[in-house]
Amino acid sequence: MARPTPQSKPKYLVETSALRPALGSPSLKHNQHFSEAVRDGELYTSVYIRMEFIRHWVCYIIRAALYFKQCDNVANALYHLEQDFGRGPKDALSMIQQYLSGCGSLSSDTTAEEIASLALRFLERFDRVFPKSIENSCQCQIGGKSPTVDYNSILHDLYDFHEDFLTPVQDCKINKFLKSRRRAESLTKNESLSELSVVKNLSDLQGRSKWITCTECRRIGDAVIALEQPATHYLVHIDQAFNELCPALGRNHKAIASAVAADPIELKPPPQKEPEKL
Amino acid sequence: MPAPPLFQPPGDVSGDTVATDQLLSSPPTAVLVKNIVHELGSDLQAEAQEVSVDVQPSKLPTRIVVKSEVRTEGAQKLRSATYMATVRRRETSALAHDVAVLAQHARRDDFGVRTFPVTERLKKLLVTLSAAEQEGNTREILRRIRDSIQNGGWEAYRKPEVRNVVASILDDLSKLEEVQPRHVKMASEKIAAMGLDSVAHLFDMSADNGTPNASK
Repeated sequence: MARPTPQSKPKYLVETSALRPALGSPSLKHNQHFSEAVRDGELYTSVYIRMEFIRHWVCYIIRAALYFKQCDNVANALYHLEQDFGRGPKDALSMIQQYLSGCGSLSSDTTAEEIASLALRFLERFDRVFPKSIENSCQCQIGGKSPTVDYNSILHDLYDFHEDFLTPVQDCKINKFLKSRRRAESLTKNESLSELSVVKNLSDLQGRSKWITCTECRRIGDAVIALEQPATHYLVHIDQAFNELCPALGRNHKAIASAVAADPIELKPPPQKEPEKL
Repeated sequence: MPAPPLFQPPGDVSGDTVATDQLLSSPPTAVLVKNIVHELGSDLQAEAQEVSVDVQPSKLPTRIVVKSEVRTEGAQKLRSATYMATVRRRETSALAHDVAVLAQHARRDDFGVRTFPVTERLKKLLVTLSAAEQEGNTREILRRIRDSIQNGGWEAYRKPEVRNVVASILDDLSKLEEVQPRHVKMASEKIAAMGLDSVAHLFDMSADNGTPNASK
């Protein structure tokens, strides 16, 4: 494996699963765990990882804002969001609720605008935490996009961005990326990786000669990130799939603990204090 | 003041009970018209008006027509873009002064308490401007300033450079005819340059102490 020279700082490419502690999660311990792991190096992102962040996080918060606008009160909107967020970011709702509790009592219209603003500021935070990016080898066409917004019409502008961003790109260059240098085969022909769901998905797409658009790309995201990782960078991840993907591709990686592992909560209540003797 | 009623003399009083269908089908012997006009004033205060009319008994029905008219021209002018911009300029000028005055309390242990009037004024202005379609960019700037103060962010406001920058942003708002997206961008960059994070309370900033490239 290629290693950085002793004098240079390590370069850490932060994979999607590790973004939350990188951006600051509600768990102090998890954030500290991440900070300690990358303290000695520089943080990098990629256009592809940024795409996953926008699709997974920013678009969900935009959707939440539009729900608030569509519902007649905040409680109603939160109820519908709870039903919808089953596959969404795990702490998105708690972030929204925490933010709203700081704003004070709001109508659903005002709440919609506040959450829309939150979506944009979350993306701005991402861009501040990750000013450096690796080369966009996979040539993802949407990960570099940012909403252009006039706050006088913020919901309309974000709705347009949401629809545009989630419309699959038909002429995706990832197809060429996977074919060139037999990148896809480097994963699908490796028997030690055959049990990984992302490799199975990639094999399935190849087997069907399926043209990959954003829809299919959702199923092979880990593979794209692993194949794009430069030899000069460590991939920082929580997702355990990379414990196998990175070594198979001859790449450095650094696994960090999940929130549950880094900051476990005991269900058992603490022991009761003995009453003081008078 | 209500207009004087139009009144026609009633028919004879007989004291007999008149059946309902006769009441509906018989032409009225008298018509009373009451006009109630309510001018929606600058304070948009609710108002109740009560008018009593004595109707003389008669054999045939007396029709009472009540016309209630709410005149909103005055209030509409007060929700115009021009008016809301005037409110924005006036209030942000006051806010700029409030932020500058924080200098007098910068060394106090309870400095966070002293920022309460500023956040309250910010929140009230956000509510006032909430329906103003042309003040969305203003609201975003105010929102970012509000969030930079809350949840412990007030500590940064002990520094004169922070207060000066925020006061200058508010001062700019007090002079602009129209607040545009580029003003939001400029204000955001100034706020970020001061190390103020408008979403800091959602992310544990203490973990940023060792994180490379992360800005506070």
